[in-house]
Amino acid sequence: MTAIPGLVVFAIGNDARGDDALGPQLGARIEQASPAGVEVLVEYQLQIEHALDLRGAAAVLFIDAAVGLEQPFDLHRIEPDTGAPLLSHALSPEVLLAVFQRVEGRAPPPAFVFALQGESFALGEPLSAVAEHALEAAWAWLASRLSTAGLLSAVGDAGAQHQQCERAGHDAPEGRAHAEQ
Amino acid sequence: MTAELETAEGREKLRKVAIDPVSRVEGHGRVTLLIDDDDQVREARLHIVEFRGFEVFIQGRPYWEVPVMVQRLCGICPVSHHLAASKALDRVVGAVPPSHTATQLRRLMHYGQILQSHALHFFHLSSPDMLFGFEAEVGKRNIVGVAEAYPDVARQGVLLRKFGQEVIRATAGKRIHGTGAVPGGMNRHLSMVDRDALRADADQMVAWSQAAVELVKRLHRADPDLYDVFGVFRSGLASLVRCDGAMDLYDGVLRFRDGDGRIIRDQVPDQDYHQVLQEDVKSWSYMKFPYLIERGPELGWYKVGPLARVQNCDFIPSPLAEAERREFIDHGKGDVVHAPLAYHWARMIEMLHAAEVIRDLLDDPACTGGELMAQGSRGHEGVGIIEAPRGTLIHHYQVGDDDLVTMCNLIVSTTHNNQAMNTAVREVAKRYLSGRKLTEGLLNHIEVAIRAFDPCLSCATHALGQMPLVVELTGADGEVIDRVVRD
Repeated sequence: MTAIPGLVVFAIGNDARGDDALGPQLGARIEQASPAGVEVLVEYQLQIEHALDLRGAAAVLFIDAAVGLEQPFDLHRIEPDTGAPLLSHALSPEVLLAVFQRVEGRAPPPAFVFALQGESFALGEPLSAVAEHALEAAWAWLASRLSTAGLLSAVGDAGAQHQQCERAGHDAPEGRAHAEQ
Repeated sequence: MTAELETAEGREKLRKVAIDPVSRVEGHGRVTLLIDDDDQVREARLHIVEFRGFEVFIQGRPYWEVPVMVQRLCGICPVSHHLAASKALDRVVGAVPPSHTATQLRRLMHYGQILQSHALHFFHLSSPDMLFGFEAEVGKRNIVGVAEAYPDVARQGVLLRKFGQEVIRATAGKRIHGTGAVPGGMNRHLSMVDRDALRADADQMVAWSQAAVELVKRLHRADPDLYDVFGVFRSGLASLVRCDGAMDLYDGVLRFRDGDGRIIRDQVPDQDYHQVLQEDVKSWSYMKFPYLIERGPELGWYKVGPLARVQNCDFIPSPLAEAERREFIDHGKGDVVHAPLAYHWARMIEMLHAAEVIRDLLDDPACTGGELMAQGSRGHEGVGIIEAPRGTLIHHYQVGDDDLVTMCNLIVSTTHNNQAMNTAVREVAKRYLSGRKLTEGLLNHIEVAIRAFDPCLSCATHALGQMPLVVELTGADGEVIDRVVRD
């Protein structure tokens, strides 16, 4: 954990499982770019002790492949989910925030999910064409926004941007950011 | 007992309930129940998507890549696969035995894995059921519910996990994709900085683990009718033990007991596992059913994991855990404890043992200095067996002269427990579900029985949007009558 409060990025996925590698691959690009104040943690799955990695963070970004996404990527703000039952050994980002809240006795830092479009998760397969496209589009969009202020601004602007797209009769051409809260 | 409720007569006329996937277990599991018009359970099966594909994935790879590659099998216990593969491939590079330093470092890594996995399982997955009851509202049956009602328990669970993960990082080099163990030994010592940092917390971990054992014992005492009866069935036991009969989770010889606790096979060298074990195939399951050859598939199946290990060994070689083991054995009043919920008690005894072993290894100078690698005559085959958190894990490889893997066979702990888990599901279905209207709480009874074994069903992906729990009630004509989704 860095001593300076910054952006903690969880890049989640199994790089031997097709499009599940989207998280680690985007995480690797962020690590290579080494933006100031950004710490990247590559993990298979989220677990309870990851709540402790949020200590001292100014914000946290969860990057993961997603099924059922209709655009290459999606950024949205999330809040702790204190009511959801846990499934499997893995936690959702929202439940991890709830674990942080309970263990630390305070609100977690601002948190965002950056979901990338995946469709095939078979063992030993490379990224699908859909995922390859999502990775490139996501990196092109995210690279300049990799900071707490950048992410807050992105979800803040998204509502207006999305409304503009709808008024013009078309959707955002690539990924989409939206503010859920 | 094994055939009862396995296959119903007139299946096409029965209603089907599917729990798909089972929640709070790793990977993808699916339970199907066939129910007749009187709501009697006529068939119960646990289906598991296994990772046979991974063995093919390994074939053709250079052997030295394998200890790193196999960690991609599992997001929960990658270290167990890392070490089992390394142990098997020690034989290929002729490192028999590996150096004392390498063995102690691997042992430290492994017990870190045991500690963190057991802490996760108990505090995160099972304690909600145990502390609130199986039919508590769904929203309460999670770690957040535990944290609200038992703040110290929840916090200690998180910190025990973290400590175990730090032991792994300090020995494997990384939190995941560690490279510490290699065929022939280890590639790094424990640094003095890491040693001192871990040692500073080690006594606290022992104390918290002791408290966890006390908590489980309290739960058993509070409701013995439930804990000693729920899903109970008799079966054999299997695990590694040290040559002198002590519990050893890293290395040893195979020992098998029958359901009455009699030793029926002992001192089986790990390299000879295939001479005593065989895997049965059933048409309705992708996962095989291992059994002890000399007893056959009907009688030769067994349990693995904490409940088997704590009773299969003659003693635990650390004082606090040994005292707890004796109390556990006394609880059986001369008989083997077979109750699935006793897995949790045994698991906490093992967690205490792991904490004691870690503390002692941190004081061992072999971990911070000494020869890391050993070598000898090149071989072409090796078996590595380790007691992973969920039970006996077998890795078996053959390697060609070109250093490429030509054969890979993995028998994971969940496969060993396949028949036992199916039997537990049937026992619970028979006792709690037959003749009653199905509710979410009743279906959770099935999941509680499965979770006691802590199955790692496969290294599934965990992409966003996956892993809902779907319960479907289907009529005889295949029409879905009711459907519930937990997300």
